[in-house]
Amino acid sequence: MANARILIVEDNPKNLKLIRDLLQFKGYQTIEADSAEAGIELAREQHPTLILMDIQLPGIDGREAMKVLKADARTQQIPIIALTASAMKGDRERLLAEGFDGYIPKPIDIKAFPEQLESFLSERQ
Amino acid sequence: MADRSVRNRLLSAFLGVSAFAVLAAIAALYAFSEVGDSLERITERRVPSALASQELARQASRIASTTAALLAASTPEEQDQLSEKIAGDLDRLNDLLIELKRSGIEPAAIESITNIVEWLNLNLISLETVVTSAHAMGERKQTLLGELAETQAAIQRLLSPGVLTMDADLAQLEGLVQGRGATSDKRVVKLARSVVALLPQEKAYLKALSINDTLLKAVSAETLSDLEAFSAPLTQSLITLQNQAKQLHPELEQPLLREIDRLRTLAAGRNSVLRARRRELEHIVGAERQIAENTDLSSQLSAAVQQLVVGAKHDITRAKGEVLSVQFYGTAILIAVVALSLISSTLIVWLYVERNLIARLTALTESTLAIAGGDLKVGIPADGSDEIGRMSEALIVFRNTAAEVEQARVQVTEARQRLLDAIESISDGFALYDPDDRLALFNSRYRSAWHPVDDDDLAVGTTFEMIIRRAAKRGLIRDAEGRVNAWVAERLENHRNPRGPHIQQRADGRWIQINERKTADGSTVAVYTDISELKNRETELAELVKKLKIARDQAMQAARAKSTFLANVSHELRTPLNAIIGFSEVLQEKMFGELNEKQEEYLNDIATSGKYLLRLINDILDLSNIEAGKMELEPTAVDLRQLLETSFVLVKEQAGAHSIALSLEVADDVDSFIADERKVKQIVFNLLSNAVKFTPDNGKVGLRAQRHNEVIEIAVWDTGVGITPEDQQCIFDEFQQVGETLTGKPEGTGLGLTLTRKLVELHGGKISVESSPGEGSIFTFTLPTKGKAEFRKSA
Repeated sequence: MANARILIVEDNPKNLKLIRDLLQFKGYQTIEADSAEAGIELAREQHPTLILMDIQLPGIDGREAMKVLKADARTQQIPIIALTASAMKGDRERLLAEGFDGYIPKPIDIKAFPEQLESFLSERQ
Repeated sequence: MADRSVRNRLLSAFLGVSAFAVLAAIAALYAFSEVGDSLERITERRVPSALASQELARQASRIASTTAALLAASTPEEQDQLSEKIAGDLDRLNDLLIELKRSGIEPAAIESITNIVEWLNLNLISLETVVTSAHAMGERKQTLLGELAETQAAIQRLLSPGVLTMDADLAQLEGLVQGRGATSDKRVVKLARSVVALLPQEKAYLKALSINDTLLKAVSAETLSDLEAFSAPLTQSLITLQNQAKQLHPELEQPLLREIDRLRTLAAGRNSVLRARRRELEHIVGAERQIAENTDLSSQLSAAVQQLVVGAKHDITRAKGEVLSVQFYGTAILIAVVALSLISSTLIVWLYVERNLIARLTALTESTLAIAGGDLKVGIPADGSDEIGRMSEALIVFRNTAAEVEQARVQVTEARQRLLDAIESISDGFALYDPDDRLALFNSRYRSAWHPVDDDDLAVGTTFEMIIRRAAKRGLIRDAEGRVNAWVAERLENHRNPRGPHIQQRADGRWIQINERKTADGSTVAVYTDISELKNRETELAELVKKLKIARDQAMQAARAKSTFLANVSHELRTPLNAIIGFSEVLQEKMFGELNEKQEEYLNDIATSGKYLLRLINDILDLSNIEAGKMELEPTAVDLRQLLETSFVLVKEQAGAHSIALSLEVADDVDSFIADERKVKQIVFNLLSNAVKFTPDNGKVGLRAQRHNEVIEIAVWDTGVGITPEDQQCIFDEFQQVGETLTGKPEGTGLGLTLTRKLVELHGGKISVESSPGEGSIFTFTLPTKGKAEFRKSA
């Protein structure tokens, strides 16, 4: 899945940079947005293979963005993984229940992370 | 059971008695029948045959006597008459014999009789012949006697004149001899000559008379020998007579000789009287022999008949004996049956009627009387399933019902008394107003509730309105002050249509709660409770509740704030940590090129510190969750042995780096049990990594797991630095780290043992420590295998 295009929605530039560099290093194409609104826009325009969505975002948050994308016929097929520092008990369950297709808590394990994505993508195909 | 009913039992009993009667009747009938049979045998067979045979014997003896007369018959007419009689008798005899044969007597028994009768028949025939012959010969004899008489007469006619002359001559001679007249010798001589001349004539005459007499005598001879005795003298007399005849005058001689010839013919020869007599005697002897035979036969017949009669008598006797026997047995059976019948009747009466019916009925009667007399505990015989048994059951039901009614009455009385006692003893005032709203029942507290001072007005029968009006007028009711009538109207309305508890304040400050309820019959129950204290408490409580609500809201607010705070802290720490740890690892992974040694060392420090920080955050969150009751166990079947081995692998590298020997001992009876696997692993790992961390190089660290009943005990020991007794007191508290690591710098968060203790306690287990500074430590914790770990939520 090296040619998979992954949309990263992340407002923290350092984290955005880490994810982007890691994914690119692993051979993925990446597109980025630092807000939910921008992310939605990009998703509609470019139809990424997968979206990594931060939850706490300026403006509308990641959960709202996910709902917008899932409600939109053009983007509802795109899997969305919550990539968040909200790692309190029950967060994973709550987010999956709301409609996210996956959940990866921060801080990420850089060894496990690419494998998680890879297995997710291969499952989705 | 219907078949055990009195009716059926009595029926059976009477049927039994009747059966005895039937048996008696059968026995009697049998006896009668046997007697009848015997009588029939006697009357129908033996008696007729006996009678017939007796008649037979009589007939035979009659015949025998008739035959005797037959011989004596003087005339043929008489003989014929007798013969006819005998023939008639004989016919009668034969008839009797036939009759006897027909009487059913055994032929063998009358065979002799038949033979005798046969003989008799034959005998009679020959007898008749003989008798006829005898009579014929008798007649012949008479004829000959007639001839004899004629001959004799003829001789007399010849000789009697000479005899008469001689008699006269003799008379004259006699006279002359006696000299009575002129005697003349000549005349005497003449007379003498005449007599002498006539003397032969007289001799012949006398001889002829003698012969005649002899013949007549011979004819009357009774026996042949007598008869024969006459023969020779008679012949001699005849010769003498003939000789005498020859001396007579020839004129006389010739006729006389002729007559003598006739006499000789009659005396001897074929046609002689003697011969006739002999033949007659011979026939008579034959007849007499026959008669004797007849008599003998008659006797034999009599004997045979006698035998028959004896047989008949014997039979009769035997039959009589049988009859007597039958009578005896019949009587005995009858007596026995009657006795049995009496006994069975007595037994029925005694055993059943007396014991079963009368006794039970008597018992029932006594029980009934006892119940009627009020003894409701009396025992009732409840045996049997018949009518009396059902009567007993009915009586038991009646008694039990009566007992229940009595018990109920007692209970009602007791209940009433209890109720009164209870009403009196309750702490509240109680009153009951009847449907007319008059006071019907109240306790002393009611009086004191209304009337703290003496008041005799409060009595049963007083109307409710009067009571409250009086109280209001006295100023006892605070609400009624200045508005007595209005208050009374309100109170009455409230009283008549109660709408739940009603609180009244008294003028003295007391609060009274009045609870009024309508009963089914329209009475009113009123309860007066002094709630002054309650009222005061209520006020206090209300204030307290208000404070508590504020405190609770504050606490909840604080908890929410803490939770939000923790979440925010977690989030805000994780976000930079993501970058710190992430970039460090990216560099460590040398994705973007090689690093020098120093860079690598620093990167390790950065990553370690980042991970430490992350662990600190996780520990804090875990503790926080445990304390907030948010942490829950996730129970699964835990293979403890495997879990322990996995935990050992995790510390193996660290232990190996310090040449620390690891040992694991798991008892055989430690196996799978229910627990939260991740948390148990966390406990074991915490203790093991602590032990390794505080143990010098070449030391030892070990774990022992064993089972005590329902509890698994795990001890983690080391030969490390140990813990002082003071430190042991607080070692499980938050942020307490004791001792020093071998590197001298703090590596723990100070939350590890606290969290460990909490996790053990979450499972329902306990943790403790034993330690001597410088020697080592043993941390021991327990986990229940079931029950307590049932995933109870953390407290």
